[in-house]
Amino acid sequence: MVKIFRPRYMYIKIVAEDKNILNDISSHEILNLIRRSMHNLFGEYVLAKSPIQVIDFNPENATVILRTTHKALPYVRCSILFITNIKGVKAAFHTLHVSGTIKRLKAKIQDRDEKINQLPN
Amino acid sequence: MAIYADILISPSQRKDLANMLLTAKRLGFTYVAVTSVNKVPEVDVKGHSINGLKVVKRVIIDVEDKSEALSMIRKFRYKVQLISVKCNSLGLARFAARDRRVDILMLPESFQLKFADKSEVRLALQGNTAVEISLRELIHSKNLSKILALYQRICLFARKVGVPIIISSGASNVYEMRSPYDMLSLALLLDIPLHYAQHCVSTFPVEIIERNIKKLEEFGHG
Repeated sequence: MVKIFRPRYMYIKIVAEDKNILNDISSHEILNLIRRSMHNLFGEYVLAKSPIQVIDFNPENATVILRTTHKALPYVRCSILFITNIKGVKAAFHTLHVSGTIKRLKAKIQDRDEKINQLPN
Repeated sequence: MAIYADILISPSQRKDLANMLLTAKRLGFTYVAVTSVNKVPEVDVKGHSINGLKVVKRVIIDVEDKSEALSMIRKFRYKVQLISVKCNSLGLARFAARDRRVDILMLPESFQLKFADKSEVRLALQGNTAVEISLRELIHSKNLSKILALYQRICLFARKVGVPIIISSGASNVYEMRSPYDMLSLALLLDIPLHYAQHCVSTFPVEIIERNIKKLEEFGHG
């Protein structure tokens, strides 16, 4: 049977001017940022059709794992593009990986971290 | 695996450059064009090219009349890999579109509506000139709907006549940089298919850069 909603897990890195801001915000506020941006760009209709859930927020590594559906994925990615600040502090959200299972996503993250560690600081 | 290029980064402060280049590498770009307006960017191309990231120079010619633009194109053609012209007037846009030495047309917000007619885009095609869409203008625009409508129209015309569209970040600091995958997602807003957006971030800019690097090497200016 064809699944109507297929999950998509997104691995997002947050780059902020003041890193302490990440300790002051919760995963709920991150979700609100994304939802607000989506509302501005696409309106209530798309927002209603796009389930988003924060699976994991790690302020130390400044990473977020989001869960959404394959249909909502383009809208979520686009909304993330337009987030420019967190509580007035300059910030950017970079989507680094997207996967259909969280297991595969974590494997990709590990591969990536190994590659980045080889880069000069 | 696709090669990605961000052909417009112009650090507002000199000290930001190294950080921006490292971020570009981490985000997965292979080519980055460091840009200045009306002058050659002060960047050590070989020194800044880190493992797998190639830095090229780009000049934006931002003048009011054709003769000034012409002298600038002559001056910079053998010094930088990319030349783009900001189309401040219709005459300048036509001139830049016809000139084969110009690689990219930039469309300022004030002018774009006049520019976006089919014959202008067709002229650009004859000169092999690409049209650039800067993410920074979209993100910081106060009238997003207006500029989006305009870009959608430009994309529609450009695709009809086969003019390459290039999507760049236009970043002036690290917080304005976006990953190539994020830039691809603009396809949804610009009403272009995802596979075409992939060309806008990888194939089209990379082709122009590699063609120009080759040309400069042939003339001994590489």
